[in-house]
Amino acid sequence: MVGRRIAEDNVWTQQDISNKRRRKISKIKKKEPLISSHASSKFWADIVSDDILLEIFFRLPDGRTALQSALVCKHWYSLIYNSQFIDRFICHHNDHHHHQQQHHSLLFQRVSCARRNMYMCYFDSKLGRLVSGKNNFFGERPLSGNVKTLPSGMFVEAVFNDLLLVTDKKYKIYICNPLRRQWMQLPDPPLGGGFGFRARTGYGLVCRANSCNTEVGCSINVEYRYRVVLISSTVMDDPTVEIFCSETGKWRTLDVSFPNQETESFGFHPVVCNGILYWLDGKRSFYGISAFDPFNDEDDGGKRCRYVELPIDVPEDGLLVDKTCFGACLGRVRFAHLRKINTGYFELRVWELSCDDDGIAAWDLVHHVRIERENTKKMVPLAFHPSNGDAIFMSCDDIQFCQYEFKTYKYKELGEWPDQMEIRKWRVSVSSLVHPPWPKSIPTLSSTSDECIA
Amino acid sequence: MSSSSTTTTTTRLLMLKASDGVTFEVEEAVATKLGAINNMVEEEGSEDLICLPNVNGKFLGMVLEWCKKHANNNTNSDKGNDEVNKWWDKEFVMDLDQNTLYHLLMAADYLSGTELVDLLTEKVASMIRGKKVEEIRETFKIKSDFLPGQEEEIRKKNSWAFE
Repeated sequence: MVGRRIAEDNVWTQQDISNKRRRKISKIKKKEPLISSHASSKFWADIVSDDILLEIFFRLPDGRTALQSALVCKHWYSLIYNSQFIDRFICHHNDHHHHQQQHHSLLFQRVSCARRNMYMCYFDSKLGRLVSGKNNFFGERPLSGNVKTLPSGMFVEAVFNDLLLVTDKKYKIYICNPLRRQWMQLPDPPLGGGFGFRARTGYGLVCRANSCNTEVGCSINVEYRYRVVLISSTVMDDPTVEIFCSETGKWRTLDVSFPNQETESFGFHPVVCNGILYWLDGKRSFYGISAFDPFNDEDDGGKRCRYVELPIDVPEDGLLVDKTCFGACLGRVRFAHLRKINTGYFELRVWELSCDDDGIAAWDLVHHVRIERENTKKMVPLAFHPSNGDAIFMSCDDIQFCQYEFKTYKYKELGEWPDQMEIRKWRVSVSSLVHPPWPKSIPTLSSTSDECIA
Repeated sequence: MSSSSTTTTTTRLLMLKASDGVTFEVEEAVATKLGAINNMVEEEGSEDLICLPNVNGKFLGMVLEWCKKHANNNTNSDKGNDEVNKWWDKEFVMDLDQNTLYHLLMAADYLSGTELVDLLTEKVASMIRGKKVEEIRETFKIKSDFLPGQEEEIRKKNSWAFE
């Protein structure tokens, strides 16, 4: 709610306000002789109409640039720090900007068997290269929120656009926006505390717009609701699902049984698509996908929880994670499978998931290519490009990180893995972070309502 | 601006008169790329002389040059033409000085040339991009009118945007 809050603050003195009025009057007077052709230093600050100035500001690349421009003069400030500016800015960007240009980051974390190993590096699409270390990503310390220092041993468990669900080594749960360096700690979940016999096996974060404005559509930026999903299990029981609801600020346990009873454990990063969470079922190898709708509180028609079969025959001991890729691209769930035929010769297939109204899932094969890459022994599909359906990110021979283009059959080498990643040794967890036109703020928790409204 | 139409059907010509008395003879299809002129033609019927007291001849000429390019190229809408238009637009705005850019934008806005306004506002936005506050002020010759301390106060509130 940054824009509105600041606009309401009494930053201006009475004198400023009267100055502003005077300017308004003079603006009308000055506006008449449009025909004059001599240059004046007042054009862009005073004479040009507010509508035109707004059209210019909406065309700035992101919220950061817009907020910086607001410091040019008071008039620009008053237009940008207006309660409707952010919504209209986002609306303009959604309508006009091609997804191809969307800025995104891929966050890579090392995952060890027992507990996670904390090293991380990331790829930034604007920089076009790998950057090492979590301090570069999160900054030295949080700038705002109820966390004063960054938690030690933080691990990103789930992502929703630019919001991250992060845990520290004491199993505390945080919501964080690294673009604003804003952090908030959530209350501890009553059951899945992370200690004892009960192990946390799945996390999820889903946001939904509070209301949709007819003029600017739905935007999740300042006011929105979110659900944090936590799945935990013991060796004896079926998984337990706990949900944190932003409206109540409380956790509650759901009576949910996942349709696939053989589910040993989750443990993979979830994929969020159109408000539904998808997990690969399994620990090191997996058999299928569980889909869960955290906003469906009543479980009407049993659609809250589903099981989706994979598009390929699954061997008895499950599929290995380093031969597959699971993620989302342009609002669709995707699954990729890579098969090594010989050294330097691989087969890669990509499917897209479509669901009809009854929740019956079907996979469409969207890419099927044979990759020839001289002397390459190992390839691992890592992540889909979030906004380019014809690209996938891969790791080659545990050395290089590259982007493969399906249409041109070409590689772009984007960098070498830093030594500390020890990519040969550990499984890598990939989080795909999409930078929206205006970074989301994390709403403070209110405890006014007791009901979670779906 | 004379019409160089190669079509066999006779296209109607309109006379546009700028504030400084300069007149332009343009095809109706070209002039109606401008919303304001389109409205006048539709409402007033066959008035052939349209006076535009708010636009000076130099800038009206430029606006019409843009309209002509886009009206001609819109008739057969294949992808190649789209590329040509984009390239032409890029050239059109490339070397505009502040003064011309401003007046052209005002003229396009006054004449409701929506696409041209889009093009020009995009150009102005590109001049803001990647610049520091002081550099933006310098580019647009704007003086800061914040009181001492106010600027710092705003920076503090959204410090994430100023790192």
